[in-house]
Amino acid sequence: MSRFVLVTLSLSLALAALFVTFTPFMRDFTGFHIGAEVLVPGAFTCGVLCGFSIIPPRLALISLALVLAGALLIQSIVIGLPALINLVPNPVSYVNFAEQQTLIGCFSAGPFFAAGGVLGGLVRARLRPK
Amino acid sequence: MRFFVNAFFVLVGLASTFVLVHVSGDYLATLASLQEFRWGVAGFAEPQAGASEAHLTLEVQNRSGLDLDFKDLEVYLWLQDKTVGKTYGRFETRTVSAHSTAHIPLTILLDDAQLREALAGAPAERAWFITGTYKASAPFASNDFTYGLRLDVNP
Repeated sequence: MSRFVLVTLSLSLALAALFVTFTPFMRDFTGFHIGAEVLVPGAFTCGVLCGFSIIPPRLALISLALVLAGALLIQSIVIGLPALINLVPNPVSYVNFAEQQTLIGCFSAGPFFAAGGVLGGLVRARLRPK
Repeated sequence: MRFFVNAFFVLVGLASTFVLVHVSGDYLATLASLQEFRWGVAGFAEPQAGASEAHLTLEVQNRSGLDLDFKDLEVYLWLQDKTVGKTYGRFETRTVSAHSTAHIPLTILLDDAQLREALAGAPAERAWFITGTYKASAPFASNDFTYGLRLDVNP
């Protein structure tokens, strides 16, 4: 169970870092940014690690869903931070940005993350002694 | 083996947290800096009828912790409800360092006919003001942010 928590938490943060640095809107505010050529293999690797590290597969599937949801939540919190701490005069815009960018993140990296998870789970099942 | 696997995931989590904290810090600092500057008027000599130019010195205070670039400042000079001159895009990009104040001298080319008309129609207490637009950019920004400017410049 501790492995499940550790992997889910760690990969949520890793995927969130990929989402946040990929977010086009954030490019105006930070020097850290990545392109799709890093996001896609990064999300795929996160999926593989998640699927491979957790057994049984049912638990791995739950972890995959939690990692994706956690990463998107962290991304939306980071983008919405200026609204949450009343830094900007137009907080609603930042909440809207957070929603939009979360959807973009979900659709752009979600499939690759899921594919990686399935591959990781399959490899793990193959290697498992019968 | 179990230890190394756990250590790997802990390291991944720590590295990701570092990136998230760094990006959030840059993001908030840039947003704050783009709101922490103030414009003021440091000097203005009221132009008389027949003058071809007016001289105006603006003051910009950058209260943020980042150096900001100001560019494409275009200023219109108004008397009451009439535009009497403008700067005609002769502004060169100016960097204002963090926590500092810069003075920006501007030369406004006047439209003599408009100026005479405005002076003739103005009451004894004249209301001079400027309007304009400019762009500001912070170090991390790949785009400029456009702002509007409106200041009373009564001498």
